Amino acid sequence: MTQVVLEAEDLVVRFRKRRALRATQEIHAVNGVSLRLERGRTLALVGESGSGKSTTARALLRLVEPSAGSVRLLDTELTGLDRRRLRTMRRHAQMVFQDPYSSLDPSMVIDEIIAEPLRVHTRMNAVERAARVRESLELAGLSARFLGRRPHEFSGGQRQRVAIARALATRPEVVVADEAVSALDVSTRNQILNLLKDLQDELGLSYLFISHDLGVVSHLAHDIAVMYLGTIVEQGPTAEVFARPAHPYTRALVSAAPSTSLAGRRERIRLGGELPDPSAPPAGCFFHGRCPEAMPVCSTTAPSPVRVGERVQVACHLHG
Amino acid sequence: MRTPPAALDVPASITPAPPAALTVEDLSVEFRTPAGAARVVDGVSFQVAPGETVGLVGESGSGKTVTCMSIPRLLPANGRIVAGSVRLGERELTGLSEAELRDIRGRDIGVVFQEPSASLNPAFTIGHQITAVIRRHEDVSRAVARRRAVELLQMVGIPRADLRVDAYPHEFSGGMSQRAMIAMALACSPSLLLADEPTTALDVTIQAQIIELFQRLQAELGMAMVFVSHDLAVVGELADRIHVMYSSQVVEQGARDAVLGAPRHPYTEGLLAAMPQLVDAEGRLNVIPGHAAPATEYAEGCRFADRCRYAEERCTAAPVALAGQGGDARAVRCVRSEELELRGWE
Repeated sequence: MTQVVLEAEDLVVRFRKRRALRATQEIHAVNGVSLRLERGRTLALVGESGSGKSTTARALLRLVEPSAGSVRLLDTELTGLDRRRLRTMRRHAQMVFQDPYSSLDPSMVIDEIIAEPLRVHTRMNAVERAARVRESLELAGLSARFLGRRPHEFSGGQRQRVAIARALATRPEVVVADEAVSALDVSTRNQILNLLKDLQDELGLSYLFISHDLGVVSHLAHDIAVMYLGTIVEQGPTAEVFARPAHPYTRALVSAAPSTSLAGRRERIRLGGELPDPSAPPAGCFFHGRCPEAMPVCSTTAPSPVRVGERVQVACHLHG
Repeated sequence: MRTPPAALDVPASITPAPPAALTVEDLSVEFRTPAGAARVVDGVSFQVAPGETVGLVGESGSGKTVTCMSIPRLLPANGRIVAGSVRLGERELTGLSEAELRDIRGRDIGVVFQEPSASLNPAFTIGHQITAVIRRHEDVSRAVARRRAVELLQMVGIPRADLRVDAYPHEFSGGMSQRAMIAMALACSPSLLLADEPTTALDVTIQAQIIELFQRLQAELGMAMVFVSHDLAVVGELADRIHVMYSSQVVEQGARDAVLGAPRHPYTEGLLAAMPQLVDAEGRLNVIPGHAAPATEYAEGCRFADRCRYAEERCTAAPVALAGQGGDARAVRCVRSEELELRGWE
């Protein structure tokens, strides 16, 4: 029996954006997202900038407030929790950000950086914290001789290891990694990805892995959810979704990734145009204006998710 | 299938070399740093023919961007060209004054940068910025320049270009801004286009559009192009020839399929194997261990030796030369190159 550690149902996030001399606009950043992350597995959220993947991740941890919907972390409903109880829950879900240059406070030594979530989320004393900092450092593949040093003394890869050590300090069940390897060079990136995989095997971690890099996702993620303009258009096991993408947007995304094959380059599905304005999403299916297979119904009715095959869900009028 | 490397060498005598649009010879660039002079480009040579694309590939700090930006001498204040030659057609650029170079930049050399939002001036309309480039270099009226700006925006695929010409940069998305940058770089029909990671900040479907745009524009306009990227797959889409850089030097160069399909330098092999689509026998991603030394602390011998799985004692004994036919042919900077069986993409 698989255990769901993090689950969202009909999650909605709206931002209000004030514009000079104009009426306040509402940005629909996340529009009814439902997903579940199972213990020991990796769920990738993929999509282009503006697709709402980072906002979804932040709303799952209530780093931004959901406007509607439900989020459960280890069977505790997070929406509606008061701040004190939210803080104790947060030690179960920690985050690693994209840029290790801006996510680590340059004025702190790394002992303090890694100990910070312990001070905020737990009642450990100084001795316990120091022991936990050392353990976390070791888990992230850094030696104790890095203690007492500041972030600027580290390379990009080492900084990201510090960020991982910080995320692991509270021994969370869930780690949310938001483009955590996107700023790294390829050789360093692979070291970090291998580390994440080892940590998952060792500690049974569950990852929500946000990325625009389908190559990385295909390697690391068991499951994938493809987002477009705040909605999930397709989700299921990564291997199945990549082998037989059911949604026209997923097909385009998979075909657009540069190829490592010299023989016979794949024919690209050309997507015209760009992501529509999220403050004025189109009627019907949000993708219909760019979809090579759009039908009349697509511009009037939003498609509901349907199952294709065993475990894949797709929201598209071509299926259903 | 691995093609024998020998078959990939095309002697220069078979194809009569067209006159190069760009010739870079033995270029070296130094940055003054608190730790002393850092040679960030060290003896780099390549040629680009009209209609041809040369890709410069490497990780951050390899010197690929500085090599590219040395061509129009767009260097930071602490950087200077200390040796070598840069010729645009027949014209030597290294000795030119700043004023003379300003006439060449934008007219003969177009540049596209990674961050279009950082290269466009937010205070002026797109059209204003393109017409300014045209009128800086050519004696045409405002109306003519504006008409050209609209045509350029059409050419790079901006819909309703006649209206969008009056838009400000913030009204453009990332992909549209990069198209506008490309239009501006091509405004005076340069013989050489320099593109520094022009698709890195873009989403994949937009990246695919921009790659196609470069391919189409080059086929139509026939300019020479230098394309800089850390991403071998992107370079593989566009480049006719590839130069792989590591620690300020070219470590391997050759035709696209030769470098990607039959690499001869262990670093190239490592970069190719690091693509996440490829894994080792245990299903793990391939890693190049360690990291590159800073430019003030390069080793005497092979600069990659401390990270190289094939390294021997003789690798570190003395500086390793880029061996091959020089200039444009296949060449590699590795003493063990002949005896190694390296794997590339299939």
